[in-house]
Amino acid sequence: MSKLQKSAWFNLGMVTVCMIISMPCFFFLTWRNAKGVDYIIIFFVVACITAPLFYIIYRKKSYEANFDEREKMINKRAFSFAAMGLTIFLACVCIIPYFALGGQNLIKVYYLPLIFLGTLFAAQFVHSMAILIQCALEEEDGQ
Amino acid sequence: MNRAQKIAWSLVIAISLGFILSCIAIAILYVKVGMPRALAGFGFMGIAGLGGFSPLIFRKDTGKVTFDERDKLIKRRAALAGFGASYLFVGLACMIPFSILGPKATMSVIWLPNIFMGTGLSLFFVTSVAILVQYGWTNKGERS
Repeated sequence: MSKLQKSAWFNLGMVTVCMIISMPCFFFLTWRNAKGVDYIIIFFVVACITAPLFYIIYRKKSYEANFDEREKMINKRAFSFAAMGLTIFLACVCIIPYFALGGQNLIKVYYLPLIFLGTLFAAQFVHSMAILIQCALEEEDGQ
Repeated sequence: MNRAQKIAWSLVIAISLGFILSCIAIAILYVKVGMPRALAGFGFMGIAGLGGFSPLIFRKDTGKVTFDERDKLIKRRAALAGFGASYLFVGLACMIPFSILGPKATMSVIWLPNIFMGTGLSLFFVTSVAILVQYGWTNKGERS
């Protein structure tokens, strides 16, 4: 497996792990009906601690630093696909309920974080799949 | 100014104008008729849509070399900045109501297309600003 394919699987795995950890936390907050500015402050403090930590760990072990020109080109194309996939997913998730339920209807607020988590997963899934498919097609052409 | 700068300027002006007029309209309507009728002031955001005509208005540059490696790099960096900003907008738009109102509260379905619209506007706005920052805000040294 090339560095690029390993990076695609690694990123997909990391996002899946994040989803698996986030969902119980999300259901717990929903069950508790957690609300208030205190939670925003808690989220902000946790993000300020975890984001630099992940950046330091991820940067050291980053696969992307050693990509050659071909791999960089595949990565760029995959990023474009991920951006398109994200846009289409967000458009569907935001506009279909509007037409299905009608503008006067109400939805529960807990659908919003589900939308956000869904877009995160969809973007990374499309990115990783685009890399793996391009690598597979190149290997087929090579053979 | 090159084509990219002109398009970026038109998008920045259209989106800023729409946003500022919307804020003014909402403020005036809030005093006169109160919420939620004051939200009709958001109608001025339609002005931002005029920025979408700018690729048609500003024709492609003449000459053999219209888009070189430097332009490609600038466009890519601007797209990354726009993508990051729009993602941040989605995150804030989804998590702030969840934190403030609470998960079991309800909200109107109309906010979902508004989130999508806000994401698009933030993407175009930040991408345009990033292009202008990298090329320069005025016409100096931007020719390919």
